[in-house]
Amino acid sequence: MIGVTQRDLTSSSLDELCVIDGVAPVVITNEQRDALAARFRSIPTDHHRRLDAWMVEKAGAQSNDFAWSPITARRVLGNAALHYVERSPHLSYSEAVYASLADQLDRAARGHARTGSLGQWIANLENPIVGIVVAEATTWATQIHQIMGRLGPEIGMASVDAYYDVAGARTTLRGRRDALIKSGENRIVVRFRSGLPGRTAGSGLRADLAVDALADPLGRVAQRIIGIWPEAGVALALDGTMETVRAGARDLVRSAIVEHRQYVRIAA
Amino acid sequence: MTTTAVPPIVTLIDSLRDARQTTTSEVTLDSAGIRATLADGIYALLGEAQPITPYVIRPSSFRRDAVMSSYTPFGRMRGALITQLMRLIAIGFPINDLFVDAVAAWRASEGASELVEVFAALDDDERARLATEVVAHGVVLQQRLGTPPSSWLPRTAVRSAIRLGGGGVLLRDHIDLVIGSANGVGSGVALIDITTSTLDESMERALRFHAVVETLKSGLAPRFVATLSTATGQLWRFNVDNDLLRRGVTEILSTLDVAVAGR
Repeated sequence: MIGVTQRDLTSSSLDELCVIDGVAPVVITNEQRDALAARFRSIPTDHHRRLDAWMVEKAGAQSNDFAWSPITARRVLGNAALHYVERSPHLSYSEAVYASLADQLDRAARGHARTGSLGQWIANLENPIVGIVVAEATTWATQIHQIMGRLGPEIGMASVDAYYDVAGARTTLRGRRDALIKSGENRIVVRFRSGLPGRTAGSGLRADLAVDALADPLGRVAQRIIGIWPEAGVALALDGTMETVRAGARDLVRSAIVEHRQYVRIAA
Repeated sequence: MTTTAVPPIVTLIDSLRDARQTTTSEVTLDSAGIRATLADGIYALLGEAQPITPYVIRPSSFRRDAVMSSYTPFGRMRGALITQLMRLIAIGFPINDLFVDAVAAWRASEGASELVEVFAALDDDERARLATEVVAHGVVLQQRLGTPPSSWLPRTAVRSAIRLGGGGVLLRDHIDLVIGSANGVGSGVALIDITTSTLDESMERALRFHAVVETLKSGLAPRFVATLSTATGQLWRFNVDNDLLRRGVTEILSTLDVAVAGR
């Protein structure tokens, strides 16, 4: 596959996306990591930068207006619920969501949740809103697990998102990943997204793939990243070539530049 | 003294449980076939020119004057509040006060919107009238919906957005309750619409639209489409077959035809 491949969510298309026999493994070298760190260090910052695919897709815009809501909470709670389901397959999706909700409340009650965190938000909700939060997370978990079931037996939830702290550049890169398909040394990163894929969706996937590779201690690049938009019934895929990783890293650097310019403008 | 046995109320979930036992005709139309038919029809209507803004078709595009009362701000608020109650019922969440709980859930789900502003501006009389209506519809919902077992994988407020014709046409859908799985040999999915209006022909068209969009989205046709009117307690359930999907496709194209002519 060269460039972004788009497929409908039919069983045959999903089978095709999981075939990575022809994709040669690629590794990021220490020299390449150093070169990337130098690029980030050359962009001044007076705060700790956090960059992710969302910023790449929005051309460096900061998400200042983030607020917890049933919709923004569903990925965290739904994905945590699927970890429970993987460990205890007898659990229903809603039981698993309640278990992940209880974990959040427990952290808030013990004082481990920071201000503005999901646990703090849930702890202060009225009862019916908790019900909607559970309904939304259950729907998310059910939908993505149903699609995961069509991606073969080797798929599992990703333990955490990929984080990479760029040495000496006060910059943290975050790569979202919901599931991984692992077969021996090979791996495919899977992301589930809301809504419709926009024109910059491919750039977002490239950035996620690059951060996933940087976060790997050995710099191994996943053979493919698949972005799935369940609402649109569409999947986009990109092969993990060095060209793709470079493009992803370039987009992240560009986001840092745009973000710096915005800060300078606001400060002025 | 004579006592008369009260007939048990058949819930929508009971009705689907019974229907699952029956065999349905094989659906040979798949997403590729439907997409191809729609693509040909869209090309015939739009040609190669891409509209500046896409033509958006939603379930409400099939509604006619008969149910316009549901599209007043009051009707939309009532519908939105009943949807929240349905979501709580579908996951077996305890409801203490139908109106108060629905409002709290709705405001959290909706965030800031024009409709929430309209709600905030209601005077005491209007709010009391809305509360009465929501409670009346909510009672019907509690009696007639039933709680789906968790093994039926209930999903609520499921959204869809399908781009067609190179992005010139967008099919947007919102299904109140989806149950069943599309994995395995065939689909066991049922799409359920809850409406606070009375049921009429436009609702049939909306159900066919749901079936077409779900087929395009998941690659497999759903097994059932159903609707429950909380105004009357009426239930409609249809098996999805080739004929239903073909009619759905035709109705989408004729709705698009009207939209193109009106632009």
